[in-house]
Amino acid sequence: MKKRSMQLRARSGESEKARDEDLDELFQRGFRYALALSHDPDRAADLLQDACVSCLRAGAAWRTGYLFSAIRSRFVDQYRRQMISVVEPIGDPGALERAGAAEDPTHDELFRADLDHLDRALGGLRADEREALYLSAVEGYSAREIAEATGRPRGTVLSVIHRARRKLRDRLRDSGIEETL
Amino acid sequence: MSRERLDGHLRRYYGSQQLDATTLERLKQLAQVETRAEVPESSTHGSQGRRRFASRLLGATTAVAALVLLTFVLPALRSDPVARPEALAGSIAREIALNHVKNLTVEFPAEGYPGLREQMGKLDFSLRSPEHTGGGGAFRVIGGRYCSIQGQLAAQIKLEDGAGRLLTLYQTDFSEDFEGLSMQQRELEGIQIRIWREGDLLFGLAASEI
Repeated sequence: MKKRSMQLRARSGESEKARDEDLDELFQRGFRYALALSHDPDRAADLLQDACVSCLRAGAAWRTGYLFSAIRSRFVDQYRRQMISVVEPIGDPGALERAGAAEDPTHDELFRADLDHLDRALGGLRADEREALYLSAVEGYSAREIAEATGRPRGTVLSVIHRARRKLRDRLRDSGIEETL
Repeated sequence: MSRERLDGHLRRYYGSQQLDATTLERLKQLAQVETRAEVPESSTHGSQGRRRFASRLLGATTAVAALVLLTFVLPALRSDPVARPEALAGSIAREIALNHVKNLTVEFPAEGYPGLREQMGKLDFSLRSPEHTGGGGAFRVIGGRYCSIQGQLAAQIKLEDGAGRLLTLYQTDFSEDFEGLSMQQRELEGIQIRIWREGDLLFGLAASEI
């Protein structure tokens, strides 16, 4: 997957509508990145808003790199203790219910149920693992780019991604939903 | 499960996560409060060398612009009795608009100014109900929080009008830094801003529609 680097189309060259769409995409991506870090939609929205204000005050251009960096910085400030020391437990994987499997589920219900399982499995990863997975799998960053963005050695990043994938697979397998995904 | 398959599911999962429409609109409004020149994209079209050159050129241009600003423009603004208050009013209006669209929660819930005065003891002025809001109707106080205007401690008070619209009122001491500032009514990206003086206080009112 190619990395999707983006910058807003300039006002002079493109229509307001195009710029509006760019902002939509930028903020949605910022939200997802914040969600990958926090695994909490409310916190993700707060992180994004704080980061936007910070970008505005710093006079930074509306670019993915600046926004992600501001989001990360805020997350590290707010959740430093959790990020460094807490390994979030997944609880009892066997308790994961196969929602929608009861009787004649629709495609949407199955889709939703799968996402719910994935959501719980992701909730069992550490913030830095979710972040590395998100940047790699969703944003298409290379290990070197993630290393630059997060200030870690490339080898550490590769190790975190590898561990995150393995943990995610294990949790999905333990909950018995791997096949349906 | 293969890596590709797992990554595909992750993309699908994160792709299904959406920022809610209200927050998205608020952020877009925030982004448009201040219009800045965008730096031309060089990362996808140029070589490393061209990027470095463009970066240096931009840096040099910024430095020259800053020098010109510091040497000629700012002294001129300071000495110009008309231009300085005008620039100051613009700066305050942007600050007020920015704070308004942030829509921060109140730290001190209160139903009136006496309740706010009691809770916001750090202010070096006495909070009061303004006389000239320009809205024509009465506002209900929801609560307040500390903020700053031009680096000066201020109160940010959330109000609601008769139609249920939220407004943000600002109050701070009318220090000598604000000297020359007269009543202002402006609009910034759909936000109506009103700035005025009442006695020893500077007031600002922001609303998406007044």
